[in-house]
Amino acid sequence: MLNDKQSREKWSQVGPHGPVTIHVIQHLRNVRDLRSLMLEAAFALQDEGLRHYVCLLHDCALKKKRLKLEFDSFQGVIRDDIKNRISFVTVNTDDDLRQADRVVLDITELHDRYRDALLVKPKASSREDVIGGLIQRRLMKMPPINPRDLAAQTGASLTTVYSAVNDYKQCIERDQEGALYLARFGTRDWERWLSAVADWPKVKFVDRSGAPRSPDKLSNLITKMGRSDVAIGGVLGAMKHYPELDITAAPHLDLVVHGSPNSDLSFIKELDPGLELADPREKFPLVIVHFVNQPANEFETSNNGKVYASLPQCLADMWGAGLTHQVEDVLENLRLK
Amino acid sequence: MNDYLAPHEVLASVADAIPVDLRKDIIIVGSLAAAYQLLRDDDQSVRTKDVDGMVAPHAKAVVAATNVTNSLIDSGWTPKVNEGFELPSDEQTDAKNLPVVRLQPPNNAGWFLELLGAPSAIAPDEHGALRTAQRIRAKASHFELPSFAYLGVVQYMPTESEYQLRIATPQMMALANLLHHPEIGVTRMGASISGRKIKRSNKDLGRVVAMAHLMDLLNEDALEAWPQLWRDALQMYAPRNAEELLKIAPSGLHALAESYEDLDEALHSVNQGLLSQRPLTSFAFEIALKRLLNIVG
Repeated sequence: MLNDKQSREKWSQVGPHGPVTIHVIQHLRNVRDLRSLMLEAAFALQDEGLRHYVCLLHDCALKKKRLKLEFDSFQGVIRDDIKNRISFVTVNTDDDLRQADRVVLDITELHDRYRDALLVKPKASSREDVIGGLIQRRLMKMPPINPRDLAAQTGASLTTVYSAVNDYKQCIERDQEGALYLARFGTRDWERWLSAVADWPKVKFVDRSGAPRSPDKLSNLITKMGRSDVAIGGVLGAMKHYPELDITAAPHLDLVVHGSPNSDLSFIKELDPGLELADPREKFPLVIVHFVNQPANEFETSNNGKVYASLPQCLADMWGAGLTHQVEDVLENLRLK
Repeated sequence: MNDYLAPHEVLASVADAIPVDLRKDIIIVGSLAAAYQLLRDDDQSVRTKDVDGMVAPHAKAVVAATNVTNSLIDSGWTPKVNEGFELPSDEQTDAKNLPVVRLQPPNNAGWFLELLGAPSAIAPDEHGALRTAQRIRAKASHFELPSFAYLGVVQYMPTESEYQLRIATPQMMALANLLHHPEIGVTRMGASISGRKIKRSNKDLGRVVAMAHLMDLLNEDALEAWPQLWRDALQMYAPRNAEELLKIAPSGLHALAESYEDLDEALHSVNQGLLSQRPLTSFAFEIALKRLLNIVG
């Protein structure tokens, strides 16, 4: 039985010649995962009822040439009656997605469910949660923390904590009692961490009124709503932590919701009736909602009642928006070296 | 309705024909006032034929309106004849047959100035009527000076213009319209607007939304000041029932939001008038209404 996340990433639709399985895979980073995916598709097609298996690769790190090479090799080793019923489509634009249109009868359902699948949180995000927790402790000048407490605080398993420690072993040290702390965090470490966090699922909203509210105004309105589980992130959040930030105005409002991508976002309509849900690939959103799905958030409430996301989260939002110069400027001053 | 009026040209023309000491008794209200306050670009104009001037305060409205009428007619302005009313009228003319003061400037039949009087109170009269009237005895004719109960709130902090004429603020015109239409009435306007007979309440409530939208474009924080300004004005002009009136004020907007047909009429009306140079889509108009309701409740 599929859980909710699996059913949102993989579903069945009716095609011209029979049932089709659509599988959305985000952030495919290596050949090992690709091969595993191909095998999964081949096994699924052993079921006589299934006609076609389509993998839609969103934000795939593998080049098309490499994908083709792998796919051709794979086709050479599987049964003839199966190999022509598997498709891999890299999707970066709407046009890319249209390549898959012909395999299903209900194209609208395909596009809607694809969009929904992009909101599902990737599986391997918790290592970044763990590192994010250590960064925040370092910024807050907090003492080292034992792995079990770090796991509890970040909502990660102990295995994930150790895996994160191993991934960033050049940055993390232990004190004499085995507690962990971030000893250093260089530019490359930041870039790696920021890139990973910036890739996390987000929901975008655009203005449809023709008279958009400014991000600053929207941040005031969210404060008036009195939500303690929604924080201001991105540029406006970073400006609070680092007032010297080299930017005059936020290009959009980043909000950080303490919850999963399945959280209720109906408050956005109350925030401003001109805001409407946009395609995840929208290039000029007015509001971007990010999610922090840990047991405890790192939000800070200022004297004027505004709730802000942590500085690392704000920097990740900015990194995702391409404000790399400004992020580097802040990092230069943080000097976690 | 085909004519566009440039607020500054019209105000200059009215001011030119009235002695300086009489100008301060006039508060320009209606679409021209809204255009003056909200259409800030020099080349912006508004589609209207009537320029409404309220003579205030109530205590001297009749005397001041008489003087203004005499002064304009002496300057060559001509009374506009309305079907069914007697012009010129005199002492023998029954009050119900008196024409209102509608004066066209010399050599320009494109628009007219209509005079109103400040009401004695921000409330219906003892018979529940929202419209009352007084007789003015000008040299050329007797006229009727009508007053609308809630329009009196425009006396609260009008803008002092460079023409020595005062201009009602959008916030107070909005409040007057809202108090006048706590629900969508069935009465339709006599004249059609681009081929459609519009309910009076839809026209007035639509203008409230349009003014809110235009003010929002000028300053996205401005609408938030409306509730307090309304409270201040009502405490000054209707202190005994200020809170009750404040509670009633948004009712008409709620009624408008619930009826597609009325919303459509309201939009048609403002797109032919105040927003004629930058018309809104029905979607954008609905958002402007919702934004306003988010603030005024």
